[in-house]
Amino acid sequence: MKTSTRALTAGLALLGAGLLAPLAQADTGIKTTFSGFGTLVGTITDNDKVELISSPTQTKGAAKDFDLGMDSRLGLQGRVEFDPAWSVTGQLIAQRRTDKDFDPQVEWLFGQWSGVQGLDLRLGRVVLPAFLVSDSRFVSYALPGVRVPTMVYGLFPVSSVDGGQALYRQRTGAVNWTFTVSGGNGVRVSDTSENAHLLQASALAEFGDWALRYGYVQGATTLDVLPGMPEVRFREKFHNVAAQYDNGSVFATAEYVMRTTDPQVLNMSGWYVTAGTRLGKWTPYATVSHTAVAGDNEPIAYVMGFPVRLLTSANKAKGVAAGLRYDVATNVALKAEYGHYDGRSPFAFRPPAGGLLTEDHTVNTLSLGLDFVF
Amino acid sequence: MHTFRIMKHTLIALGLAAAAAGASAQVAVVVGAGATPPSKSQLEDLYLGKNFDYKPLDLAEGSATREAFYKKLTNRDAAQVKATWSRIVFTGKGQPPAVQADAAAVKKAVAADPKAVGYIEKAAVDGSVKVVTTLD
Repeated sequence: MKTSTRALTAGLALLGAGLLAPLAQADTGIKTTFSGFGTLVGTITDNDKVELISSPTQTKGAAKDFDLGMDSRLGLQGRVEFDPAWSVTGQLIAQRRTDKDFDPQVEWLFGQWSGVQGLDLRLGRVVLPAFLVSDSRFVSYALPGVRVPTMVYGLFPVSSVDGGQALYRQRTGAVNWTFTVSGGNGVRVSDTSENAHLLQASALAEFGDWALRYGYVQGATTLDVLPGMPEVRFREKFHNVAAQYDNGSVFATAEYVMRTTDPQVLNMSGWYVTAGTRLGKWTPYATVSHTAVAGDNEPIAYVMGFPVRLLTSANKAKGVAAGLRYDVATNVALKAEYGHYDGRSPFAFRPPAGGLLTEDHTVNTLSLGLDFVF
Repeated sequence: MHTFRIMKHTLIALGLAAAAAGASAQVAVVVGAGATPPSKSQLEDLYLGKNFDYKPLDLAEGSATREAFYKKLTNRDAAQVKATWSRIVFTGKGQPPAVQADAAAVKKAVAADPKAVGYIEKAAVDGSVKVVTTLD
């Protein structure tokens, strides 16, 4: 309730900023921009024993009944630029999180100082760029497919932190470098997990049609996911290596992620490769993804002498997706995607009643989506 | 009847010539007369949001010069450019190029700011601006 009230207040503030924009521009030179993005996706699968999810925090996913909530969302963004150096940016997103509701939440709300060429300093609620497309993973219109590869991006569901961030950009020869450092406490993605003392660093090199990125995140995590079991606390390190090629006609993205925890309870790695080609308004694409447990994970408890683990070596999965995007207009796209997922990834599947996955599943899915930006 | 056929052929020829001219309309990338211009590779990075060392200027969406400019410089159509900039805007990394009403407005803006870069149809180039490169 408290979160909803706060989100509502922030929403009204954003809306107010938008409505006041013409006035502000006329009188003071303060520039206000107001924009948004959204996506409406329906997904159906051929398996009722397990639900397909797009974030491990979701408590409802897609199964044999047509589901409209798994990937649908609406985002609003407002930016007030007081002068070339000072600005405030806010972003609200309504999407399915821990329950079936679409309560809007404040994704970002930060003040930014850009007083030195190439440097941005931010304070407030900022994006946590753990992945290559972390910062735009919710803007489906900017992605070729319906969603980012679930079983890979699910490994690190925290998308923003309350803290600070520094961005530094430098062009050397033909290479555009972007360095990012962030710190803070993770904005909670569910009642059963907490990510504190997060520290992030990444380097991105863009040259011509290529982009290469390395990213690192570390933090202290508390999970309370299994009823009747003690809380699990661990320190985690998350590495990400990514490469992207896009010449306008063909594109390919590959990303590898690895998480290690201390104590070793949730060690896991994953990768995906997406490739596609643009044929006028049509963009056919395909994605292959894979996750597997890295090494042996320790038990978090013993029940009557039997070890209970968050992850076992059986928690691996692979997925193949193929789809078609059609650009209806310069701000609207339609997508159709077929997916085939196989295995026991807790970041792609959930048992309808919750708890741990106890067997492998095979799921075929069909998604139809409409993306827009304004 | 004969006159009609000549007129018809002339019109077809004119139409073909106009179409050819439209397809190969040259676009000039311009900066202020006294400004230090960006390199061509930097130009592409500026218009795709990979570099922010200059202030790129746009013509309005739907303008033929704009379409030709992006296709020739970046090999991307309007929808792809929109998708690229949505990613940048909704990540708080930057703002898209400021839209100018016409070539005259672009020339005025680059003349006033040594960090501004714009593009206009080549025929509109005059002494108030310096041509960085011509795309054809």
